[in-house]
Amino acid sequence: MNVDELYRRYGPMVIRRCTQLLRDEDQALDAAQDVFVRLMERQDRLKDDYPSSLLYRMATNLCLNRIRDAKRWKTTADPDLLDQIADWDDTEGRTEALSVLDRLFGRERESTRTMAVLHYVDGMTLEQVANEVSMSVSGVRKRLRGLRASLQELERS
Amino acid sequence: MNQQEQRSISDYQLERYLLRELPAADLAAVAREIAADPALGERLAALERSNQELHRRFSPEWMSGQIELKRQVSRQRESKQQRSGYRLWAVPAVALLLAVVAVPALFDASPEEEPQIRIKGGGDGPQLTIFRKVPQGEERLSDGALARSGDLVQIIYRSGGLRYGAILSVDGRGAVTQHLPVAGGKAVSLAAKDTLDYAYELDDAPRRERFVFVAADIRFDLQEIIGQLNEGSTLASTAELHYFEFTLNKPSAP
Repeated sequence: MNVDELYRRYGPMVIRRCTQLLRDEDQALDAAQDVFVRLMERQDRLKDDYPSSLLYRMATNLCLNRIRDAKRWKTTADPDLLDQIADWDDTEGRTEALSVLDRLFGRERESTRTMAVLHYVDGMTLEQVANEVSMSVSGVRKRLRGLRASLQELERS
Repeated sequence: MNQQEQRSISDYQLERYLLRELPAADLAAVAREIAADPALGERLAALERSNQELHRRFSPEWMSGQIELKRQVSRQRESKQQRSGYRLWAVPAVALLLAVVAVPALFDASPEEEPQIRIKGGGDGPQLTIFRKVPQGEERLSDGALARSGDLVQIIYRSGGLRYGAILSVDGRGAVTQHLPVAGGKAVSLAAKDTLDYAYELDDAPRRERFVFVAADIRFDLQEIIGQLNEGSTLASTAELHYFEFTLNKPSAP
């Protein structure tokens, strides 16, 4: 599939997702274009997945990075749930992604932050998230545990 | 509990239902829910309307072009980074050689490799310089020069000391193209002088290609400027916005 065909089919969904998370149409349009740039650079990832599923998660992750980066420049802090998730340092996810088994099998682990948005913001059940990211429910629960504790700590402080 | 949690079918599932990219059992389940719930049917219809609206506002042709431009920029940036890695390695080696043999040398840096930040201000206001690729190298074009479809031009700007800017062009058909930034609706931070990351090939639009450089000390929106360009309006500098125009004329059709 070339970029024109991909955009015709999936572009509106990606723009809507970016707009939902970034709450700014200009930024969302820019982010949506970046999603397709990344997809074109990694077309091999389209083989084993529904493209819509992959694009939705890519858009989520890219928008979270932008929210996090934008927060660094804000002078006032008014973090909502999405801000807090975006700010989450995904150390656990990165560490696991670098595990020997993952490298041996060429797997890419889903960002814990993306899973958190699917669960806490989009309202998917743990089962739905697990199904979406091809992990066990207990695996998803474990990955979200650190994030949940961090968010609770933030709320208390 | 958020709004999504109260919905039996999430927006994400509905998007994938619309694309027919759910497992068969899930497709059937969503279809049953839609049949039983008029509100869900309306959400699906709203998605379909949104698809049409987004395709109308951001046409696949335009978006594909923007995405392709970003890919080019990304590739060029990677290439520059690789070159700069080599140069970092090369500098100490050359310094050592010079210290040993004490031979003065000239470093002939190409424009794209020069430092980005130079003189602040200058009093001349924002300016554009446009070069055309020719077999022997590059040719600097003057305002009003004749150019043809297929000419590859490279744009260089000088900020005139202003902090934010945008470069756009409007062709003889009235089509507006963003060159800086290639996407997004706001001006971007300017260097004192910079070469755009990509060259631009003139298409077969008739009469002229009018380039407009807008610069200011505030980060301004592009929407109104694009609207004025679409209407063919003449842009006049204001206290805040400074305009610089550069026109390339196309030969008349025989």
